[in-house]
Amino acid sequence: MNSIVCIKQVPDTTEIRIDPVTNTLIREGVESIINPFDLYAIEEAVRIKEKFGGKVTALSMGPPQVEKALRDAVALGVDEIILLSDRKFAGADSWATSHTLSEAIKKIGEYDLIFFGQQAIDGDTGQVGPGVSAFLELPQVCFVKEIVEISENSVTVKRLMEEGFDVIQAPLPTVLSVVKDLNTPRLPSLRGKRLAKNTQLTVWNADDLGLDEKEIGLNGSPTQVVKIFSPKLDKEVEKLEGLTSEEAAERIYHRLKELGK
Amino acid sequence: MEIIKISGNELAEYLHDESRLSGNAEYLVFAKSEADIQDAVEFCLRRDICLTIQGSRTGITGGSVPAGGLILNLERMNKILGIRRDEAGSYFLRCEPGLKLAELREILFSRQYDISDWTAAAKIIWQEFINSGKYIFPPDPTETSASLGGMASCNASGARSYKYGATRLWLSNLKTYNLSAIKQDKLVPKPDITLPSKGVKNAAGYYLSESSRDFDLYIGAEGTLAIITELEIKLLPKPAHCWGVIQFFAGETAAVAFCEELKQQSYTASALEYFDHNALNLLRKYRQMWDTLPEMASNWKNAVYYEYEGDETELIEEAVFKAGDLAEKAGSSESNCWFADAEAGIQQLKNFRHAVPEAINAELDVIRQKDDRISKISTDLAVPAGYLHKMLRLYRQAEQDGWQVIAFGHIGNDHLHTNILVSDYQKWLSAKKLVIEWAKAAIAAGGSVSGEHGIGKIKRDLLQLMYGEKGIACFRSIKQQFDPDWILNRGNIIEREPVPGD
Repeated sequence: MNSIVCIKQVPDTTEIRIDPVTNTLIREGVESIINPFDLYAIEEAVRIKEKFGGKVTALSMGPPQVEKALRDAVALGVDEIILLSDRKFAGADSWATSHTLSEAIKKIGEYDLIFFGQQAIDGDTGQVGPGVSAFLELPQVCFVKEIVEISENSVTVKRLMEEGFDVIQAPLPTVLSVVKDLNTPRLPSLRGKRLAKNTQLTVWNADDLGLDEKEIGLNGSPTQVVKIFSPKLDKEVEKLEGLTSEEAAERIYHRLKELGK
Repeated sequence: MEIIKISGNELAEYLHDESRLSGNAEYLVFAKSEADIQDAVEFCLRRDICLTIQGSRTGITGGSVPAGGLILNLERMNKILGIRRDEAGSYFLRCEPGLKLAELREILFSRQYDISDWTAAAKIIWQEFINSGKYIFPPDPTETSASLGGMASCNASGARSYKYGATRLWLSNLKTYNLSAIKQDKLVPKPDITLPSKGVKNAAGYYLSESSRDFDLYIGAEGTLAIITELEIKLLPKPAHCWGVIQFFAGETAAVAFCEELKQQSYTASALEYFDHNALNLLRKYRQMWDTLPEMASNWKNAVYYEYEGDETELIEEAVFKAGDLAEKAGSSESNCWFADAEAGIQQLKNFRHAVPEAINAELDVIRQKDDRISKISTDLAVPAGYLHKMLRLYRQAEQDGWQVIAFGHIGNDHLHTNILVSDYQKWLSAKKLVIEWAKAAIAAGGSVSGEHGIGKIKRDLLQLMYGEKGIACFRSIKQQFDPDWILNRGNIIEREPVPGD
């Protein structure tokens, strides 16, 4: 059972601050990590490998420093790592990214399951998994919270819904976008860290994938970002002072009733 | 200054700290300035009532639990007042005592603070400071809601004190409100007592080592000598990288041997912490406290957390891989560990460490529902290097005798927090006696009865064991000279001797 896990390197959100003047992210000195949702995808793929055999390949697109995220994936149990890196890929939206990833997946060739995290915590679109399944013309299940069964030619999963879950069986190969209910990701071990250091990184550029400049990067991206801004927080504070707890509770009760009208 | 009269069950939260010891008081003041502090002291002197200083009440020896009288709460004095840079280029912040460690960390992290009240010179230095990279304040008591004043008063340390030392080393100046004109170097008679062996972490009693700094005596004095009104703290450039590992072992001997080897390495770890088998079993029971981490394998009995920091990844990597070799040599394996090299992962490992005392508190809360006379039995014994195995033998003997003994904490400093969980009050009384036996063994080895928590109101008997009548008399004389009316933090460290004819 071979899996491909598509991962993204993102800034560590525990360190994210917004510049109050320019409204942009302060990226200086911020650590980069594997998108947290992708960790659940990696964990599940590694568990499947440990149970059924096969291999796990992690695939990512981005600048050369994404190598760190891919090596971190090896420390978590991934066997092979491929980085799609080319200046021509820069500025890709979710369409161009899906297209580029799907060409790389075709080039990898051997796979039964393709995993994605539910969404990336920086862009938050959640579109690349479904996009890849469309380009590859493969079935897809999003919001996967449990893998119930894997047979030689199908996978049965639970899909998280607002008020419960669906049980879905899909033929292999298939694309799965996973949510964090799926498992508890392991932390790397030192053994994994050593393996990560010594694993060969494969880098593919646009030519390796046989992609035309018009299809990739900014040129291949139909999305236009018109404006980015921090939403204005609209909150008013009313302070009640000099009251006993009973009086304060009484006042708050009436005030809430008023506001609720 | 507003003086709040305490009545009924209102404001009960200000009557206890994390030790679960509860006190009483008549008045409460939230001081906002030094003038308020002075008014509060004068109010107490006029009425001949005592005054208990409070920060965030995160202490675990009852140091901020009031013994009647007035509570002087300083949590609203939480501003940063200015910044200084010395010739060597180090930065220092002048802070009020109520500022919480977590608030300070957030300010250092975001480098955003309202400096409109500062002097023009300080504003310029602040600009230079925020443009010169990230800084940390190294002391790291586990409870980050601790206030700076409280940290100074107890000379707090934490996991990273293995590398950075206790709070004292990171305080460059203190401003205090004093009740007498006495100075540290003018004490009569000059204190003469036997201190623990060199290198032993010690937060028991007053600081009597040689010191040229006239404020050193106030650090660790638990608020009994003067009121800290301002602190100048020293900052350290934040190391670019931090890697942490929790290494699991199949037994205590292997884990301790690993720690001994790690301490010999040339690249010093910033933290070196231990979890015994009972600590890990308790964590298994309280799985919800660390559920972002995977399950522990059943053969993982003991664990060691270590951390390396620095600016060069290669050096850290070398040190960590070397530690991996040492773990294998001690009988563990490089697969039996959790590794983290980014903030989020490190935080998960720290939460796992923090969950041990939290789980003990949860167990204790259940026991206390049956009998609230039972309080936490948590030792803070620190011994000189080479003596920890003797202490561990005592703890394991107690376990064989049927006690539930949980040992964890700062193994790098030969300073474990050994807790005893009991099921009833009679056992609790016996356990207290057992702790006294352990304390005697630590003292005989040249150790201290308190490595970091201080004495407060619940460990005075241990202090007496450590320093004897002569030592306690010495402390009493110091207290008398600084606070002739014994109004400050009454009951902490030492009790007032009954005055003849009183």
